Amino acid sequence: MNKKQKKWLLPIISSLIPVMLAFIVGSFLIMLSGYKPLEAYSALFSGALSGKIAIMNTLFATTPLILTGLATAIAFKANIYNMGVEGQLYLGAFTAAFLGFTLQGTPPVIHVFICLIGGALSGMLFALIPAILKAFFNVNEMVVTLMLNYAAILFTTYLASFPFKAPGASNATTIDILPSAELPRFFQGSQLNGGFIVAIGVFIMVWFLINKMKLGYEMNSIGRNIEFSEYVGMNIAKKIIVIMSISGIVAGLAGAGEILGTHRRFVSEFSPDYGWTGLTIALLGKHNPVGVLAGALLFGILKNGGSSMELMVGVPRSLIDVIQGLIILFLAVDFLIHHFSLVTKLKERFNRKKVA
Amino acid sequence: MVKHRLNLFSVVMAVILMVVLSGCGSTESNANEEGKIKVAMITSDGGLGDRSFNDSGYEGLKKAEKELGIEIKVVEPQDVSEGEKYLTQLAQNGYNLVITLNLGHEKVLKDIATQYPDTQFAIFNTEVEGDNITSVLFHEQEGSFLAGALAAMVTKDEGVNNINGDSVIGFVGGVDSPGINKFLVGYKEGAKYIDPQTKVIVGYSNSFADPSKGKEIALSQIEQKADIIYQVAGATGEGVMDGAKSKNVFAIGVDSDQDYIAEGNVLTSVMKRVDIAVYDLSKSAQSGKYDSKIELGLKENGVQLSEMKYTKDMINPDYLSKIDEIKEKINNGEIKVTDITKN
Repeated sequence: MNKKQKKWLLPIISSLIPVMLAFIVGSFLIMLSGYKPLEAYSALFSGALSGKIAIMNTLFATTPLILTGLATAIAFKANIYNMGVEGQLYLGAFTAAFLGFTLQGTPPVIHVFICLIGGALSGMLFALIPAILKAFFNVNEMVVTLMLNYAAILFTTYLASFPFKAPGASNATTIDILPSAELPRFFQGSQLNGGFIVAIGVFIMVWFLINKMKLGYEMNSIGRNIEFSEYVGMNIAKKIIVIMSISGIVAGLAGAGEILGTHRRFVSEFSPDYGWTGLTIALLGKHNPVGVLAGALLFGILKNGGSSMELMVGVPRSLIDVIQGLIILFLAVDFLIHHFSLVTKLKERFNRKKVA
Repeated sequence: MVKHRLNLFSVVMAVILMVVLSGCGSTESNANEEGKIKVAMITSDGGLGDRSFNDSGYEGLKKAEKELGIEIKVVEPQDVSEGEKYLTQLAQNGYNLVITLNLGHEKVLKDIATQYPDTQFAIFNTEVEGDNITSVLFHEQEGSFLAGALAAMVTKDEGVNNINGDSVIGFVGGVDSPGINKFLVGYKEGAKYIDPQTKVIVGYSNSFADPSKGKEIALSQIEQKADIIYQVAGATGEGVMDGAKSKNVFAIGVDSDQDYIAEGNVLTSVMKRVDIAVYDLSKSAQSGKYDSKIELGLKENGVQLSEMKYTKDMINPDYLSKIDEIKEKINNGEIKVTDITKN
């Protein structure tokens, strides 16, 4: 295999291995809990992929994951650890809902755009806090973004519980957004909606940014060696702020899309950890937009197929959580192998032996 | 090299697995054995294992399976947005009755119910109108009234645990909402029925999943002389019971019999018999005759106080006969308990 092929193939294989290992170990666990692995997995995949509605529902489950995966990947690519995607998503979601139910009389398409832009901007502003702290005061962004998640989730829960609570609601939700702000569904019977188009649009833009623009090159360079990048004349502080802002925008859009397309009102704590799943997806996709897209699709299949598996075969849903957990575990192993370059060391030893 | 071979091995294994899998994509059978009645239940957030609402519903369903010979299924969606898919698929798979315990499904239920007129749907704790929808509502205010009355009597008994003589009792709610205040109003009315001077301190945790916050509020209420605290706050309530235990006063449990969680420090629990409701619904699935609304109060045993296994002998037996007397009066309409969710 020539060098160019190898460059493409290696990351794909090293992403596939944790997934496959997870499925193999998962099948033993399914057997241990008294179900048939083949039956369960076939229900999983046929539930996610057989038929038009099933595929559309899988794409629906994939939509927020594409965005949270990309948001994480953009920052991680430059070695900036934005762990605050979940919080940025919540602020984006609430802002979109707020604009969605207050701006009465706005023409339909424009209203959707205003809500999306509002969601994106609030995600960006929230990401600017850790960005500024890191760029100018060298505060560790990992800690700040992690902690700010709580602030965002609790703040939006407060907003939905008190000032903006829908009258008569028995849980913490706002009133419905206006019909003009809704991202329409494509087809009766599936929840897939315009949010998917938004996600694909963002994917194309991010792909372009990373592969074809100067900023993408700079991100890569900062990610590989920050001191060198600074030495050759990049304004690192400015770049950190720009990169974090983009990451926040994408995270905010993820939240806005969920509200305008799925919930059509703000529901407190609506996200089943989309931000964290996005982190796994970014790692699985090796911070590459195409990789993220594939990873998001895999997790979409797991989510949509998982519910079908539960509905049809009666295998508990929690087994999907186990498989996801195993993927993370094997990813960590993969990370360790790379980090301590075990493979290269082994190869060197092997080559030395061969020469001798 | 060993590593390499291992990787290759697992890849090959996985590929084989995938091939086998893709070969058997259409084995699902939708056979409805001899027209057996099929009932499905969708859990609310938290799912099974919550020692409360969902587990109680599952108990009722299992009982129905055993005694009525129906086919049952319990499913646990990951988040509220999946409600639509679950409701639709269960209806498509020929379930005669689909019960959802998640009141967040109220918005989608209305549409889906009109799309599947042959399926009966049931939703708990909220009222949704529709020809094939049963709304199950509990008269939590009635059980809370009894709890309030009992608390107002016990709070004067110096010497039982660390009870002080002051007529002050507490309440910790999850959120300030009609669904929770329904309990509060009943509790207050019960307390005032015994002694109009009783003071009720109210606090909200704004979370159903924060035990440490619950404990904090409980301790601050105990500081303000409250010695019996009624918690209506989900898992946050475990902290309230913990706080009551640490100061050796009383908490009052909710939804299921929680007396065992802090033996001797949970005075009683206001139980909501979700199990009975689920069982009754399954029974009507057999007959095919459904009510559009089921209201369960003290009279129907849908709401009741726990048997007070650990605390019965600590308090004056006269109180319990007084409680029975009040219960009788509520049942025959002599005492009217306000339901704030109705105008």
